Amino acid sequence: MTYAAEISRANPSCFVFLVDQSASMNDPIGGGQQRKADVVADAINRLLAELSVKCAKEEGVRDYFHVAVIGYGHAVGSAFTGPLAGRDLVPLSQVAEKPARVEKRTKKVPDGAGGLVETTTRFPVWVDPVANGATPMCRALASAESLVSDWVSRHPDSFPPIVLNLTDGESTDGDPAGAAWGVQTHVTADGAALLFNLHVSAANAVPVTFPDTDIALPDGYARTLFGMSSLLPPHMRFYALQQGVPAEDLARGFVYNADITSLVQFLDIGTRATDLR
Amino acid sequence: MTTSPSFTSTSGDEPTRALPSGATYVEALQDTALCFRGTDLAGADVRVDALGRPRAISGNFASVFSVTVADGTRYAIKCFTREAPEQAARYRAVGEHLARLDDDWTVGFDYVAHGILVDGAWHPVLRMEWVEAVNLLRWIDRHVDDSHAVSRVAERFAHLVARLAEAGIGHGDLQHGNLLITADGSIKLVDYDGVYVPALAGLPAAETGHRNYQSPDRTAAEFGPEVDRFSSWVVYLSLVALATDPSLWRQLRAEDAEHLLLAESDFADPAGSFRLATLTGHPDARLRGLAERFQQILLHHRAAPPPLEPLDPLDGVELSSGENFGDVEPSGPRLPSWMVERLEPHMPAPPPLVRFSHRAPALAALTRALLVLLPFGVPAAVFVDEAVAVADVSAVLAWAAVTAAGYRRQPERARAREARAERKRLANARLAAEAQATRVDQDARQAAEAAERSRAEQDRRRQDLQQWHDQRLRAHQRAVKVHLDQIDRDRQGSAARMHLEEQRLLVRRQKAHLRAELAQFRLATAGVEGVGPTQIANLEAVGIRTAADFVGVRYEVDGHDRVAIFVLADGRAVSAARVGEVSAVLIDQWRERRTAEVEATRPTAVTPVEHRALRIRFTAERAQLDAEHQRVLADAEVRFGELRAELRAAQVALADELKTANTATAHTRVDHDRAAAEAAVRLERAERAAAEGATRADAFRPISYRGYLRFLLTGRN
Ligand SMILES: Nc1ncnc2c1ncn2[C@@H]1O[C@H](COP(=O)(O)OP(=O)(O)OP(=O)(O)O)[C@@H](O)[C@H]1O
Repeated sequence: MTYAAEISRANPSCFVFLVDQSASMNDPIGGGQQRKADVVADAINRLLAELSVKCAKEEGVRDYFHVAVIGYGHAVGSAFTGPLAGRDLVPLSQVAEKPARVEKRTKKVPDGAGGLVETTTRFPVWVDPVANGATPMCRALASAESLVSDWVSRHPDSFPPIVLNLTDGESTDGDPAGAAWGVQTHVTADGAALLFNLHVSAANAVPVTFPDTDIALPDGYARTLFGMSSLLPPHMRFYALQQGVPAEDLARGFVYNADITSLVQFLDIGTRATDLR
Repeated sequence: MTTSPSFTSTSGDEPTRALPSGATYVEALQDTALCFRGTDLAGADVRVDALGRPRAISGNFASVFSVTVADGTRYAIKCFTREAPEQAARYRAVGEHLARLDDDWTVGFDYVAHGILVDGAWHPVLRMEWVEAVNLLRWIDRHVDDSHAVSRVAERFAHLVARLAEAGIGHGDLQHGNLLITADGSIKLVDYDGVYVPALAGLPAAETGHRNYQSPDRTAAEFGPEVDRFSSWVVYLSLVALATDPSLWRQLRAEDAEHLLLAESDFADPAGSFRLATLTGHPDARLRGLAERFQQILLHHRAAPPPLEPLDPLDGVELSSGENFGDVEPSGPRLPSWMVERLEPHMPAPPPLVRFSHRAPALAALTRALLVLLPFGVPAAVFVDEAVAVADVSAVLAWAAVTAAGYRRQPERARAREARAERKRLANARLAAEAQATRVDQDARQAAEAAERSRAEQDRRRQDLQQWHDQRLRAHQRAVKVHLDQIDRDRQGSAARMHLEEQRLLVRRQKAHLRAELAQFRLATAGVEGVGPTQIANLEAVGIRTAADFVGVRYEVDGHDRVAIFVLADGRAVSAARVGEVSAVLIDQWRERRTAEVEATRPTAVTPVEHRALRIRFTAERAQLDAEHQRVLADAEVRFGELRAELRAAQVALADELKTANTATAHTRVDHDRAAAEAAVRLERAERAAAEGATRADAFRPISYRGYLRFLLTGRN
């Protein structure tokens, strides 16, 4: 059985986030006011926070994962800002400890009695929105591939690395499909590295989550990204279904203009739920 | 610590809606006035992390937070992140059942359906008394070298298992994270998500437990008081083993591994399990017995294990509940870990030297006598008689035989032989282990090199594939370009032809115009000087009536005369009688003048009709070429798509192939890593066994033939 390896400190897995930081990310996301760059940076920061909470135990955040955030735009390289700037794979405990800053964000939330109240939350920031330059997606994928390949040779028994690419899809350095396949040829004894894609688009099309076909996708970029995305492993599909997210047998790790942070909830760490086996 | 836990549960099951994630709870808990609005937790303090955000302890189903209210009471608030079927009903049943017990392992809880407000929606929480304790893994990490403490926890665990069985309860997820050890060494059991109590009979299990504690055969269908049997064996065996031999903690698990001494892979393949083999081959007989029992269970009763069979109290220490041996007050001075490491309970301090105990008096007397007499015997043999020498030698030989036999009869000597043989065996085993470790290292190096080569080969194949595609693509692009260039040339040719045709038509039209106009000018009325009716008649006779009828004049010499020859429009040459050279020149000049006049008014373009006809013809031709151009482009696009599809198909096929190869590599690596780790542990254990064997054999140092002789002689050894 694949994608069933235990994720533990002794046998950690890794996450490589690829963040599109090209000039086109300055455009607003379809049907919204936010810039794509803001949406993507926000998603990364949320994913990192979510992952930290998921792996927090009695004695603090455990290194169940090592995490890299690679930006691609005018250059390809670490997208961390603050104390982690310039680093690639960082043990999760250090990620949790060292955001660039903790922002106080104020928002209006329902008070449960029909009204709205203002409340302030602390929001850790590791990655800032950036938008300039071209979209060297092939190079970004190649850089993810080298991290992944190195990882699997050092951790051959681990849960396979997960590469999550957040982009508007318009690769400027060639057809990314080949580079995408390259990432997925690296395997551990538990399965091939997973490549998931979050497509943020300026088009005002219906959001799509974990589709199993590309017919409903609005454009060629989306279809290419869909084609590049790995199938969701069964246990992830199970958890997606449990969260009320429809995910068919051939559902792919592809999300179009929708939330991807739920992905972290699909990870299985510790006691197994039933129906999984 | 709270003394009498309470267990309550409010309201029924809510309709299911997606539960918030851990981080969403962390966000909500930053404003407890809001998220606990209207409950007595409103405004409570949440324990925070270094970033000032609520500090979670997460499992696979929930995140737990420490919340302290104004009066100082501290709660553990469990916020659920995964849907659990009939959660409220289950907690109600569990609460009711636990309330009837008076057990110290329980932790009081309230299941609150409207527990926490997150983004405007209420979600349930489990509010528990906060247990000040550390989980079993961490506890062992800290106390593994305190064999007494470990053995007491093993005892308490066995006791806990017995209590659960008596109460008809199955916890469902006995594992290190749910076994909390308090400062006084007592065990608290948390996480009642998957608990079975008799009222829940017939339901399926809500979860199937931690992989490193459960039988591979466990399914959700098993849900009863027996559900903890397997895991209780795992925990108990591990604790007993650790109390017996703390070095196993380091040897049988990676430093941060999330299991005790055994894990999922050992349960799945007991025959191939190194860890299990280490326990069943342990020098300590009690441990070995327990491990063998569990091995039998794994091999034959994995799906339905028998209840735990605890050993007698491990080291005779009474379980007195008031005794402290945890974090707060360690019981008496403890040995430092390096000492404990050396003086394992199964390997006591170096044994005292073994000495001969039984001395045959006759043999002793004989020896002494021989020793006294022999010095005289030698000169006697030399100087007195050969017979004396013979007697001397026989006496010594006889004595040697008798003492040797006596030595052999000594009970110490048999034990010494045994100990020495054992030392030799263990030393050989150590050598074998060393050789094995070296071999494994070599294998691993070779495998790593092979992997490196295969990686380079894979890179090459991927590059080759890309090159193959690029070449095909370039060839395709070239072919398309050639075709398009040809069409461009055809287009130019067509345009040039149209122009030419137009010119031709124009010339024809101009010629026609010229002839028609010149035909209007009759020679008869032209009044050319010297051309009278006769000449006119003669010219008409050869067909020249108007300026259009001839195109020029040339002169031929006929004897002395020059004859004017008119060139007709159709090219024939004629001469007219009586038209001499002079008249002919004038006639031709007339014609040229008229021609010049007419040419000044000649048309400069083809007729509109002609023009239209031309245009229609050439537009069709052009359209055909344009269509072809389009078709070539479209075909090129289709072909481009095909090429890309073929590339992708080839990439997929290659990727599959590489994946298969890499999977094999990964498995090899895993096997090598495991073999290397096991070989290292084997070597370490063999080294220790060899050292112990040597120590034991060394105790028999005095037991030798020479020592025996000395013993016979002096009575000391
Ligand atoms: N009452 C309590 N007091 C102190 N700590 C607690 C309490 N309850 C739980 N914890 C801590 O929180 C952790 C997670 O809680 P729990 O096991 O209930 O969550 P879970 O999601 O069901 O985990 P699992 O993956 O084990 O099923 C526990 O391992 C323990 O360390």
